[in-house]
Amino acid sequence: MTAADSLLQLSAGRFAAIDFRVKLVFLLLASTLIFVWNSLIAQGLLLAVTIALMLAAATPLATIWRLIRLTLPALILIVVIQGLWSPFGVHPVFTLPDSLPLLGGAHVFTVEGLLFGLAVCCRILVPLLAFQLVFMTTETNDIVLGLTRLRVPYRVALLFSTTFRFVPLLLEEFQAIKDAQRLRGIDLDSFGMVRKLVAMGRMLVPLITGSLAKAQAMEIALQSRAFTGSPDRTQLHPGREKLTGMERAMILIALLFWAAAIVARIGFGMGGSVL
Amino acid sequence: MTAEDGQTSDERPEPLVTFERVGYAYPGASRRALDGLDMTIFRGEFVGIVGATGVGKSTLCLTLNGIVPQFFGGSFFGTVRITGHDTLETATSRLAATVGMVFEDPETQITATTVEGEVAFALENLKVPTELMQVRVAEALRAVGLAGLERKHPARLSGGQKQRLAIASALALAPDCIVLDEPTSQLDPVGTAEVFALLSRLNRERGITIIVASHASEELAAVASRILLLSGGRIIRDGAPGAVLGDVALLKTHDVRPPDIAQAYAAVAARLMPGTPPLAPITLGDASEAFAPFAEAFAAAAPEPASRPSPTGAPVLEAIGVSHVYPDGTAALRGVDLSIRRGEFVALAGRNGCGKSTLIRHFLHLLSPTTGTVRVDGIDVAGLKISDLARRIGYVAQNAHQLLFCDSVREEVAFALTLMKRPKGEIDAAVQFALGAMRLSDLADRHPASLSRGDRLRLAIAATLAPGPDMLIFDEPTTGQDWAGALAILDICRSLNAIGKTVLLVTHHLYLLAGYADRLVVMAQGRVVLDGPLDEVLYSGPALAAASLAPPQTVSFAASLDGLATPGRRPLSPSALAALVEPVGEGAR
Repeated sequence: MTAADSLLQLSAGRFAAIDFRVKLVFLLLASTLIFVWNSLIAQGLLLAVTIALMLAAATPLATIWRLIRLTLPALILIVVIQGLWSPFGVHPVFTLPDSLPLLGGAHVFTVEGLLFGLAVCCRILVPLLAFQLVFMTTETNDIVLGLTRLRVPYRVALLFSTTFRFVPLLLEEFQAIKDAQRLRGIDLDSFGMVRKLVAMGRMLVPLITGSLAKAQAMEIALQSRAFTGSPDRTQLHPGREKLTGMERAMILIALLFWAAAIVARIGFGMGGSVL
Repeated sequence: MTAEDGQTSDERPEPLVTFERVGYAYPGASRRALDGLDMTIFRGEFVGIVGATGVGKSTLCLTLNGIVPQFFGGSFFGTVRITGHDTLETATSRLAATVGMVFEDPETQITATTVEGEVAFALENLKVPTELMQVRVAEALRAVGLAGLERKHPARLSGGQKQRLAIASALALAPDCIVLDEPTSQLDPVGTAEVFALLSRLNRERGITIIVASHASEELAAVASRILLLSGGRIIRDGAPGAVLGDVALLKTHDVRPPDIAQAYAAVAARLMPGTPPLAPITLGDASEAFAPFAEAFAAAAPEPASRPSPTGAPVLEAIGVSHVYPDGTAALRGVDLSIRRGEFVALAGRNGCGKSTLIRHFLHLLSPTTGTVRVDGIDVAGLKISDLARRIGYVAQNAHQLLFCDSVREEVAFALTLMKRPKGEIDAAVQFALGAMRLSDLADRHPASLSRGDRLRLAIAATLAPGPDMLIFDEPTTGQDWAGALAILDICRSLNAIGKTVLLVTHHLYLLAGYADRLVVMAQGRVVLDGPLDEVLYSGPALAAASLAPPQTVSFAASLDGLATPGRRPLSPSALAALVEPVGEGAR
């Protein structure tokens, strides 16, 4: 399976059947609450719920792991930096022996710092995974429809659908170029920074010309299919213009929960401390 | 110009498309892509457009829905009318309802993320009511044999299925005509056959006018009702398929590959009937009657003893019991054993998805076997460094001409060696050798983008040669090429083989192999199913058919004659068939 393949995953299931507008509210909720709360427990719960929903929506573990791995270096760096120098830090994990010259007596990692680092990691992972969940369980057509119903101009909404088509093509192109260089004997991994940058910079030339050619071919294909960008069009599956009672209730509950969480945080400081 | 023959009945169908003195030049181009086109296409015709690359076939297709000139600009002369609508005055979005378009590349023309969404896209744009749309989408998918796959992602379809999907999208519009620009050039023989069979059925049963630009001479000969030969933006010949595709000399003059059987007939006729050659048969069905007068000459031909030097070099590419299972569970290779010796010229064929590319990627160490061993030069490929591997195997991708990175030809060839920090003397020598071998020395200071497509491909090959590999793998280099382009690539392969390089060529075009490859390996369903000298494999009949491959028409024809399929004879190409008969002297006429 190539990198492009896992982007094409379109899973079925109950979550997928929910109206895009409801999913969008959940996405906004998850991505804002994660910044309202400092509490690692609350954030961890939100992360667990997101991952559980992904698994319920039949997202392959490999896809989830790929997204986590993508951000892993940054996540580790954040935990290390927060652990070492967080202003919240009180209790040291261990202290260097006094006998050590220069660094003797210095605290290495603080419990609070490390925990806060983990909380920050959740702030990166939750929106990322929630975005993947919402967009990968919604058919592009429904995304476009959902967005136009939220008064987003049709042309802008269509950008989503073409991007979803184009990104895998670009990734494939990039992989082919990387392979081509490798097969000429260019081993990027063994190169130092400068030579690596030279080789990578050169990759852009065919990538850009190739993408432009593909974009033009796509544009011609779109025009040949009577595409004008006009929002005045019909739909194969018009979907429900109106939300069901259940979906309305879900949105209402989500919004109430969201408001309550903010009030609780500001008024009573709930979720303000890391633990 | 109108069709010379074809329709002879009194009640001529009504005109669908008319071209009046149509000329067109792309913006900034000095040469006209179309130059004085006059023609009428009638309802219900199946028109094949043939011509070498760059003669204006695609441009002609794009004029039919107004993309040329409405999208491109440039200078346009004359008038094109479709069902009475002037393409200059009618918006492309309106013409789209009349003319369904299908393009060459399945990847760029598919815009939706489900099969049914793709078919519905144009209908949605045209504001077809939902209920009617659902009927039309279902009907179009049934017509192209994709019913049941409505919710599938188009990326998960095979190449042939993708093009049938594109045809369904055009068909759902209930158009007056469907225009296809090289719809099968990226497909394997099975996919190509699927598409042409579908087009023929739509034309016959529904009366849809089909206009298709294609290099697939054999397929056009079988299904088209009229052929246009284009050259230099002009219509050179317009007539029934037999009159155009059967005129072998004319097609060759314009770099168009005649059907293999037509070439075979012309070659034999040139030896037995000197003078003006008659029109050649263009399908295998017509061949036996046309060849009947030559039967005696074939019977008299004496078999030549088979002389075949068996390869003696050391094995340089070896797959030993190689299996590969992709992470999604697809078993792409199931115990492949293959050994290629130094100095061989081997062709590798098989339908898409048979495991060819997976096997090649093992030799290049882009994939590792699930079980089994892959050896290059006798060394397990897993133990070779990337730079070591490049010094042993050169790989030329299908789109190698697009994978160029530098600002000059010389720099491009030296690129990898420079990054590897090789000594300057070594780099200079390697560059000089590679440029010389690819006849690019005169172009050393040019920018790669300024070269022709053919020269850019030679440059990509030169860059592959620079690290000094002894083996070269060409991955479907003839796909999407016209006749001259494909032969030029094969000539390069042969010249590299002649200087001692081992060549492995992946291709679908079995009719091109005679005179080039010595050995043919056929894969099917992850296994090597046939492997032997070219003539043995091409004459293996049912075994080849079981791998979904058809031999060249000359081979099919010779195999049907008594005595021609015996070892020692077995003609593989039109010229080889002709060589079996004694030429008739000028005096004997």
